[in-house]
Amino acid sequence: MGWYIARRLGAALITVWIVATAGFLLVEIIPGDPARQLAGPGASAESLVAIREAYGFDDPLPVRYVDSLLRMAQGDLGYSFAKAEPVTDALLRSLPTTLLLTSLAFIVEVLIAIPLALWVVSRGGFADRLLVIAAGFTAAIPTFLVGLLLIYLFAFRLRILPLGGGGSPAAYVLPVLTLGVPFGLVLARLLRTSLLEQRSQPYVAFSEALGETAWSVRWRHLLPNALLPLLSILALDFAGLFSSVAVVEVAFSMPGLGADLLLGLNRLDTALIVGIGIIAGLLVALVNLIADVAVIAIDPRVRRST
Amino acid sequence: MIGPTPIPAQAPEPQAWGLRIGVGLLLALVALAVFYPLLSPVDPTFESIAGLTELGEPLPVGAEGYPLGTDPRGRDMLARTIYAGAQTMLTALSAVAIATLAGVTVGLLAANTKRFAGSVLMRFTDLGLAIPGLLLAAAISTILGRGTLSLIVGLAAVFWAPIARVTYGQAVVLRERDYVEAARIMGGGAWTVLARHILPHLLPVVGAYAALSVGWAVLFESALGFLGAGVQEPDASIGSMLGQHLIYYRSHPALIVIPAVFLAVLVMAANLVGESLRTRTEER
Repeated sequence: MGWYIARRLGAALITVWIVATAGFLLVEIIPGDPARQLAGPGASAESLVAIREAYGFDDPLPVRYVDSLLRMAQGDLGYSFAKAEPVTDALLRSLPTTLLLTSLAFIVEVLIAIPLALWVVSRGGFADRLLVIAAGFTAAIPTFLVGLLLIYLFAFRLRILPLGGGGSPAAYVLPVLTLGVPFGLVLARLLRTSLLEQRSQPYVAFSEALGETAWSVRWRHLLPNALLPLLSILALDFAGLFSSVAVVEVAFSMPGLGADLLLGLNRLDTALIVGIGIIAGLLVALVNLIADVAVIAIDPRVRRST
Repeated sequence: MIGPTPIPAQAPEPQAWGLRIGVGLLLALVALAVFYPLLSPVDPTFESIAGLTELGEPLPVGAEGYPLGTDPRGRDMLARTIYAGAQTMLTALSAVAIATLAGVTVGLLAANTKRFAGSVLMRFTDLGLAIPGLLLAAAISTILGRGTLSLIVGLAAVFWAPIARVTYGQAVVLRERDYVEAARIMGGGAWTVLARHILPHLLPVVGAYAALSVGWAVLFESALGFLGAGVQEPDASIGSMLGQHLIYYRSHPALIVIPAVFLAVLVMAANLVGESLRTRTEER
């Protein structure tokens, strides 16, 4: 089991390394003089030379590559001219908002999906159809439009929730719902399929024959088995959620990574964009690692074989 | 009697109506995008004073000469939405076409090469799956310079990985089938077997996935437009329209609703086709 975790950890590290390399190459292929970008338009020739010297812009490519990896490993992601501060400082300030929003949305997603899928499967018929159709609808509408609709209804018409911003806990209600409800419906649909597959397995009939209550069969046997194949999907879902979080943050004008991304895109600040990419890659690798470990924690079969 | 085996009459498939509606909707949208500009003299990029009220506000839906009103620059919303829709469809379809080609190639290569090379290819694919797609598409299309072409490249860079995954998963299963084994024993080379016996069986599954990807690509395009990346003025895509009209959502909701309806119909049609194809292939 220790070997298994070590192997997954290695895979996660390789992911981060490749993301960092891709980031380095992206910055390399952009035309333009990074020293001039750093120094600004009115810089003297001497200061440009000094900056080139200090950052090693004139070194050969492999040297710069190793240097940049070493710097990244120490948490230095370069300098953002749009933010006028080191990328790491800017991103560390935005990260808590994004992480909080993503985690809350993820919790809401799961809290909606599990009971809904169980209910729909036990009920069948019309409710079942309705879920499939509703999930189809929400999958066809961009999240930022859902957010806009909610802002319009709750902030402008009913005036019960704030418009946006990141200050009060109430400011998180609408963004979390914007993300959690559509993702929850889609996940409920996947879970429904998985539950229907599991329901015809012999162990369900066996547990029922042993006299277990329907409630106990559902929560103790059906759900864990139906959730297993979804764990890796859930980890990938997190990457999708992260993409949507960026957009929803902008829609609700919350000071998170999405706002930084918007700034980076509009000002063509590559260091900032690549820095966000690296943070995102790190997070996703971490979540995948957690999902891999969760599988062995839940499934005794995998635990024995590793 | 010697002749072809008679095919037993099949019960109508339950998903057939979904596929029909989806394909029908898609064809209707494509026809609209192709024929409307030919039949209508209205230029979607023409900015006119006549298209604004005296206060310089966009005209409402149903104004004379402008069936869907005008946008904040006095351009005809009907012509502009259809023009933007054509751009969006073209972008999404080209991106998914490139992604499918790349994904199928990588997936087949990985399934067909020796252990190490194959697993390296699949690790790259996993990586493509792990990076948040919107970020990747945004970074690539911004760095390559804004415009439709770089948007297509950025989207293709996102969508090849899941298609490679699906192709690989299917090819590994098909590889072990008896008829593939038979083809191999009869002296078919590795690539002949791949192209003539494995690839044809892959196409329905990959096609289903590609159709779903078109829907996702359209959603991505709109999110990128919302963030200000992607197509720039005076060109328009559904995403750029939504992004630019966002500030008017209280005063002139029609500016958002009209492109949003086009977008929702397009994505739902693509999803309907993809889902129907997928349930069909899975039932086999």
